Amino acid sequence: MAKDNKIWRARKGLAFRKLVDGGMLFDQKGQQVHHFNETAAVVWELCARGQTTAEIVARLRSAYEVDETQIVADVQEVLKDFSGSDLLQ
Amino acid sequence: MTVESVFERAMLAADLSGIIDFDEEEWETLGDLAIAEGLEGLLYWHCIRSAVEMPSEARYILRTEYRAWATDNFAALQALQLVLDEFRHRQIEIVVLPGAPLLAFYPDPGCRPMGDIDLLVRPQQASAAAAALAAMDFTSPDRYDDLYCKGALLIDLHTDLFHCERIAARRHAGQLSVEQIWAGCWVCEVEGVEMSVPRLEDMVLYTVAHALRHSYRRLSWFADLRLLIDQDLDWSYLFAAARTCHLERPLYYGVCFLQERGPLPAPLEGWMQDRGLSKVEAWLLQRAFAGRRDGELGDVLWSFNVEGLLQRLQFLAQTYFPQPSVMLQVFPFLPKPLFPLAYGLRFGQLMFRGGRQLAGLMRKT
Repeated sequence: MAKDNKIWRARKGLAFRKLVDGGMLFDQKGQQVHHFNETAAVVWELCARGQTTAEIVARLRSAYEVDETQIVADVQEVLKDFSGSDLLQ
Repeated sequence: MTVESVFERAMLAADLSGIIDFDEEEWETLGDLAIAEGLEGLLYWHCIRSAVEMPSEARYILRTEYRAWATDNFAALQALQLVLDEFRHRQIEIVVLPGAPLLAFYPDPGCRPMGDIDLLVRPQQASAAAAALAAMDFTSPDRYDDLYCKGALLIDLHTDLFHCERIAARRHAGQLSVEQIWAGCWVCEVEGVEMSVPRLEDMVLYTVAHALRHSYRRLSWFADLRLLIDQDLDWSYLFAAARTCHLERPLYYGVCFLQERGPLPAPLEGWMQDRGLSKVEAWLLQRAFAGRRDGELGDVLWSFNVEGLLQRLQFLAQTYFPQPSVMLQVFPFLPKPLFPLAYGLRFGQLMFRGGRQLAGLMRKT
C-alpha cells in the first residue's frame, strides 16, 4: 500500500489528454495508449502535478460526495494500476 | 421527426432534445447512422456532456469508437510532429490542409475521424518532400504515388488543392489558388502539435468544395462547416475569395444544407439572400442532399460551376473517365496493361448507379 505522504511523479515520455469520460495517456516510448475513467484521469492529473496520496484523497473527497474509505480504496487501486503499468516514477 | 433529422439537429445544432426519448431500436439506428456519417465520436461526446442516458449496447459501441478515434488521431498527430520537424530541418515548407487542422475546433480528438493527413507542398519542393518521407521509412502503396504510409500515419502530398494534376478539367470548375493558401497560412496548435494551416476562410472554401466533390456523403463535412462558420471569420474576405476563386456555388450549396437545419451567422444569411439557383440546379441539390449517403450527384452539381457547354462536357468526361493511372486506382484488381478494360467497367458502373438513382427517383415520385 502506498504511503500517504509519498509524492507521485509521472514518468517522462507520457502525454496526457483529458477526454469527455476520463482521459487518455499516450506512451511515446512504448507507443501504447492507456484509457482512464473519470476518477483515474483526475488521479493522474494530480500525480502529474506531484501531489501526495493524502492530497489526492483530499481533493477527490472535496469533489465527490462519497465515503472516505471508498475513496481511499479507489485511489490506492488506481495508483497500483499506474505503478503496475510503469507510468509513475 | 425521423432518427436522421434528430441526428442532424444533434450534430449541427447541438440540440439533443429529440434523442432523450429514443427507444433501443432507435438508438441502434442512431448508432449505425453516426458511424456511417463519421460522427460517432461527436455523438458520444454530446451524450456524455449532456448526461443523456444511453442503452448499454449503444453506449459501449459509441464509447469504443470514440476512444479508437481519440487514440488513432492523437497517435497520428504525434507521428506528424516528427514529419513536420524533419521538413523544418530540411527547409521544406508545408501547409497542413483540412481535416487535421479542423480537430482544433472540436472538443477533443475523439470527436472527428481523420483518415489521411493532407500536406500542401510547393511544386519545386515536392521531390524533396517525397525524399524526406522516404528517408523516414514512409512507403507508397501500389498505384498511389502521392500517398505515403508508415504505421498508422497516411500522408497525401499535394501540390494543388483539388488534385488537378490528375483531372485537369477541374481547373475550370473553381479553384482555390495555391498562392492564396501560402499567403494566408498561419500557425495553429492541434493537440500540442504546431502546424502551418490555411486561414479560416480558405478552410471554409476548401471544406465546401471537398464536400461537394464527394457528393456530401458524410455529415461530418457539414459539422466541420458549422464549426468553421461559427468562428470569428472575415466575411468580406470569404465572400470576395469565393467570387475570385469561382467557388460561390459550392459555398452556397454547403451553406444551404446548414440553413435548412438551423440559424446562420447574420452576414452569411444576408449573402445567401442575395443569391439563388435555377429550378434544375435547386432540384438536383435537393436530390443530392436527400440521397447523400449513396449519392453520385456531386460532380453533376459541380459541373454547373463550369462556364460553357464544351468545357462542362469536358469536365464531366474527365471526371467520370479520368486518365489511366486514376482508373487503375478505381479498379485495383486490373493488371496495368489491361487498363482499357477499366473504361468499360467504369461505363457499366455508371449505368448501374444511374439506373439505381433513376429507380429511386421514380419510386419517390
